[in-house]
Amino acid sequence: MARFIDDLRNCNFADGSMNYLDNYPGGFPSAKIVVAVSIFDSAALSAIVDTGAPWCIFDPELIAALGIDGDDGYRPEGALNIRGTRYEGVLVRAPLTLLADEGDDLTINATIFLPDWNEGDSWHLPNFIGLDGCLNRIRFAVDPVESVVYFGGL
Amino acid sequence: MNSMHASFLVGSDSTTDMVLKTIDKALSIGKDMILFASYCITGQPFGEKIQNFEGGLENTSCSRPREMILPSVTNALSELELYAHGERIEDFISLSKNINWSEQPPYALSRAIDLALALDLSSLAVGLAQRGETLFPDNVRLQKAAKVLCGSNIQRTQTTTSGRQLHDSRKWLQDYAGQYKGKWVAVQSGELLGVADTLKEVQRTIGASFHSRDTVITKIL
Repeated sequence: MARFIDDLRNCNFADGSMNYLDNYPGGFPSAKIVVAVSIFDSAALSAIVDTGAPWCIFDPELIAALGIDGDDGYRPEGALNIRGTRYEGVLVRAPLTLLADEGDDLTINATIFLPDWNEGDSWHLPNFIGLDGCLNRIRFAVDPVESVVYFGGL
Repeated sequence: MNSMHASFLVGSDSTTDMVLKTIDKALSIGKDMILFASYCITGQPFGEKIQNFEGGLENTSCSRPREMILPSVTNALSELELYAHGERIEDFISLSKNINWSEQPPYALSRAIDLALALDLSSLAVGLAQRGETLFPDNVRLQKAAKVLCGSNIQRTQTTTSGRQLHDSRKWLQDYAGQYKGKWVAVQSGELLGVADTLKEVQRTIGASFHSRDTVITKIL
């Protein structure tokens, strides 16, 4: 139960809320905010809220399975820094939905970085929701006491 | 011009053949890249190699007159390159905000966006992309940059939370995920639906549930 959902909906701050995990599945308990999202018509996916990351990043195997390609994307000349490693790739827009436990889901036309990747290559990073690619386009608030994220459209 | 400026396209020890290959690659990408590749190469203190390059250019498939594809180096862009390669972030930000982009060619703005992205200056890149969208409505690359980096569409969707059992699945992940390190798992209503080494295998196993928001799919790290 998100204690503040009614108040935050009444003042038009939030449309929905969800409980989050404090660790990525399989990881040690930590101070992370791991939320449930969906891309296009995917199942619920785990993703870390990362205000230090500019763009959203998802496992390339997942991106391939969802049929997302970079044909319509923007390919910068040069590599981007993804958690300390430089990757070449394409930036694309795709609908990313924050899945509410209470209130309404919120779908954002997010910017996702697709690193160049060949099937069979390993990928060891978790999924991330970044600031400029997603979070800057909504309102959000975190209640660490109840492990709840509130989110709403601008 | 600093010799590092062109290092991402051609190195100072590049042979004429390498330079020409770079130009050929640029030709295959588009006009802006032709201009930019040429800019980098002419800006590089190649000495004889520039002359060789210019001579060799006659042999490429480019039909434009050389003066069209060898523009004068823009001071603004060369300074930006200098700051970017020297990681002089404050100078880079300050200059990019002060350049009158309406007086620059589109490829210069496109290059500035790319440099900003490479430097992790995403907000600056977004701002530059917005400028490009307004100033150069006919430039495909800049319009694409704006489309991908700028703006936002938000849609609220009435949630069917009563049927969604993500809470139970989150609980399952907290309790049991550690047993499936390195695997892809699919969990629904707090029960394991499928587990495999690859996502494709999980997709085959769970069928339509792959597209159900009641199902949680994740790789256990």
